[in-house]
Amino acid sequence: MFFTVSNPFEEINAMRREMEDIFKRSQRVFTHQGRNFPLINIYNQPEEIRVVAEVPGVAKEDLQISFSHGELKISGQRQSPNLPEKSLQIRAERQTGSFEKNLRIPFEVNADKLHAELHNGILQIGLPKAESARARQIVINA
Amino acid sequence: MSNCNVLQLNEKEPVLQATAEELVSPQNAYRPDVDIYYLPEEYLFQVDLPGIKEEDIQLEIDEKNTLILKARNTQEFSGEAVFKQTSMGNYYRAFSLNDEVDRQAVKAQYQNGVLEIHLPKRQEVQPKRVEIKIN
Repeated sequence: MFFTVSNPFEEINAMRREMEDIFKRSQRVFTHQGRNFPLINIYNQPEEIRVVAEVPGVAKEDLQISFSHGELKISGQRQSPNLPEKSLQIRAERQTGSFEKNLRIPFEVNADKLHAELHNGILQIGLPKAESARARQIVINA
Repeated sequence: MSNCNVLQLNEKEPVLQATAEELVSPQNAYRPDVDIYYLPEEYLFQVDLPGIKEEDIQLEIDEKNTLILKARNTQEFSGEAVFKQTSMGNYYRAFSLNDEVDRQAVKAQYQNGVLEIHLPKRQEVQPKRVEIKIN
């Protein structure tokens, strides 16, 4: 008789890889903390820190942004649509209701010059770096 | 919501997520969140597509009566990403529609990062009040 030695974990490994794949694809919505809204990217630019949040379907009036003690707070609420009385929701994946995100900014920010824009469901907040936090060229003296 | 409404829905299986969605969907495509509402005259889809240009959204109903949504995310930001929860990529979603939908009258609009798709029901299936005479 001929035996092939196979790794009994081969299939489990394959399954695990597949699961990871699926997880990666849904990662936009789920993080390890569960459901997450809004999703945020932060970019470090020479002059400022740019916070980009995805807030589709949130009206400008329903968004509040505040900055105090080095903490940026984005909060607001997403309204569910006004529909006629005899309507029924048959699929609910989008989150409605209020949300809040706090971001700690680990350096000094020129708080007077904060600015924010909302376009196509993307909220961009620019936090200009204070003079002391910017990268500086150092001249080498001969 | 009344039970009676729910019953009616189960019988008709109004809109199903296409089983092919997983198989057909291109690699690295994200699945945007979708809400579906069942209204007296139409089905209403709301899809989260933040930051996408209108011309990058592609919407079609194919010959198998499947509603296919494809979108491309092309926005870019300068600077080094120090914290990242989203990335660029394609979006894909597919739903099988039933025969109730009037395919010619489907309309969609993109506003505030949300795509709204209106799928009206055909005239003859819309609920109407009928008086029944008793002989």
